[in-house]
Amino acid sequence: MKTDVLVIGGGPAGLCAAIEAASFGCKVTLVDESLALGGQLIKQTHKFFGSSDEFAGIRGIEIAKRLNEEVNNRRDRIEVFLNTSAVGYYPDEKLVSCMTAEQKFFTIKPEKLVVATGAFEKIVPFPGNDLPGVYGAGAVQTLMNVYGVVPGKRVLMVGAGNIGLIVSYQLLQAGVELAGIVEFAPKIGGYWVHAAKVRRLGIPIYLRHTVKRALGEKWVEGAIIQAIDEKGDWKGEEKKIECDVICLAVGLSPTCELLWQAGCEMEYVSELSGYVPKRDETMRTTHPDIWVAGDASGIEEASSAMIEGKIAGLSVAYSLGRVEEFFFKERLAEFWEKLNLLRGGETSQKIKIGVEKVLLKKDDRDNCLDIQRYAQARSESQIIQYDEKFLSGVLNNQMVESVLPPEALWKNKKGGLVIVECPQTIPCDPCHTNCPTGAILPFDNINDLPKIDYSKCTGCALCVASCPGLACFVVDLTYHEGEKAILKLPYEMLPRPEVNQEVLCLDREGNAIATGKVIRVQEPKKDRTLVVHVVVPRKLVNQIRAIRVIKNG
Amino acid sequence: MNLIEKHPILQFEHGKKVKFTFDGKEMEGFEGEPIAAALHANGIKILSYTEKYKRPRGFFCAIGKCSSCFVIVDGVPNVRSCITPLKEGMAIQTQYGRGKFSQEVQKDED
Repeated sequence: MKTDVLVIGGGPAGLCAAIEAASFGCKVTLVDESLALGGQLIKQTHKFFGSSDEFAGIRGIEIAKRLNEEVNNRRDRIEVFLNTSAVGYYPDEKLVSCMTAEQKFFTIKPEKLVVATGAFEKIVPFPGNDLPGVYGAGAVQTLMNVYGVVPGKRVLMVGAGNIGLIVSYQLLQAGVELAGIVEFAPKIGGYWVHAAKVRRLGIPIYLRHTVKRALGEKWVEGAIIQAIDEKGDWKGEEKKIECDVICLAVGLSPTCELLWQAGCEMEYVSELSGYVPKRDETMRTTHPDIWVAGDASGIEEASSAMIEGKIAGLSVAYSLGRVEEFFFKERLAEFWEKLNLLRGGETSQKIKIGVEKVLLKKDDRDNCLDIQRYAQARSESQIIQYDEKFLSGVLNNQMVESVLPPEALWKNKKGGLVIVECPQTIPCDPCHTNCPTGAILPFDNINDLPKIDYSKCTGCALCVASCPGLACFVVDLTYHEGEKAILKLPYEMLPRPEVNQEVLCLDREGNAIATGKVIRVQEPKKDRTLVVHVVVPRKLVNQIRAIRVIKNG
Repeated sequence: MNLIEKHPILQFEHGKKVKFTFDGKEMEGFEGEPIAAALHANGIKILSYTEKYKRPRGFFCAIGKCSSCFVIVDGVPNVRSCITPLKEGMAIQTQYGRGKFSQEVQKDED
């Protein structure tokens, strides 16, 4: 069969590429190996970071639904093949061979090709890492979040990057026990707020530790972990972890076999986690008919994958003569501006360095636009050295002081004032966009830390409900019973707290330090993130950051 | 089946319940969901044994990329159970080594 544009991969990048190209009238064919569109988005129960203009503050599963709808609205121009693998590219004939359900073989001859094949789970070497029960983090998510299957009784997470931290939190939401998180590096690799979320529920993060071996003959029956020193040698005692699942979240590699087959120029870029194709600012590879987008072009976040997908879709449409040059340039610049903003935070510095290494510049190639300079966005990074506690996701005492509201205003403020525990520059703005009074000030740069005008804060807790990092809290010191205060905090676990119920109050490391009484349970955004109002001892308001509902009976 | 009953964010909508067999033993799963998910829900962790060292293999990536979850389905070996949908009456078997086509399937192919 023939088509204008073949998009391989129906994840965030591929879907956006298909939608964008189809919106300019291209006939698009989309193939994906799995049984549903959405790629990894269909497994993501957490709210996304990024800009509220895009999808920030919305759960991944919801984003997948919205993109699916957009594809469905364009079904006259987008044909979808699910359960279909693109297995080969034939450069001479410019043919892509496909196979549906492991059985039916057919070929597609596209004018242009967008490779959005995503990524593949990495593995770490240790004896027993091939045993059943050693699962990739994506696999654990698929089991529990897509098909509702319990992945195991007790899980050891390996890796404290964003995926490891997020999947850890998701395991707790699914009611699975989590033994802890081991991380080879001396600090967490993911967003700090994701670490804080699991730490305050009592999950340890073992920094500078790794798995020494898996226990068990037929399947995983435990794991031995141990610390390592700066040189990478074993240090201290072995520690036995009870678990039946070892979940590997040790990074991803770009899936780019088809690009190799097509003869695209490839380069190994450690910052992008593997071999990636050289590409220009339109995401076109060195092959004139092949574009790339998303993790296949370098491991990054879904939010940037979506923008890369749009860039590829737009550029493909332009190359097919469906877009006016002026409009193309304007829109491309707009996309790059967004991409640069997303890459502006401290955690994205390595992505920028990596992309720089494979980006074909005007000098390298004719007809290549110099959009980067055209759309230069500001980025400042604030890299500070912190102590070990902080590096595993726990705010230390001095930093707690720095996030508290001014005492004089705070103590008499009915409704309370907000406390935002967001100490890392990451691209995210829903706290501001959801603030109805303007107390959380507009961001000059989406990577800035939130700034607060306390005189405008009413303690409404809409930020508590919308922050994707669950990093906002409200403390009301005016509660009528002396020695008590009201803490409004986010809650996304089971069981659901009831009004008048006694709950355990946990500190930032998950230690139960008091009991509190629930006086109100709200769901302000109607998105299943609850805001729970708890009466807690006043002297502990700066320590308590989570609750655990004591099960009845 | 070992399923998540309650979840603070998600609601699971399972399809039609169907019967299938694994190494002759009757099991239940949901139509259209991956074979590997159905097996896992039934407590099956070992899907195959390796050719040379006879090591047990479970699934690993769940997105059709790693080849760790091969099983024999209705006589056809090397089926990626993580992305192949379950159907009523499927006969699924543990795969040993590279697996063999069943005689019936071979006859059909001839």
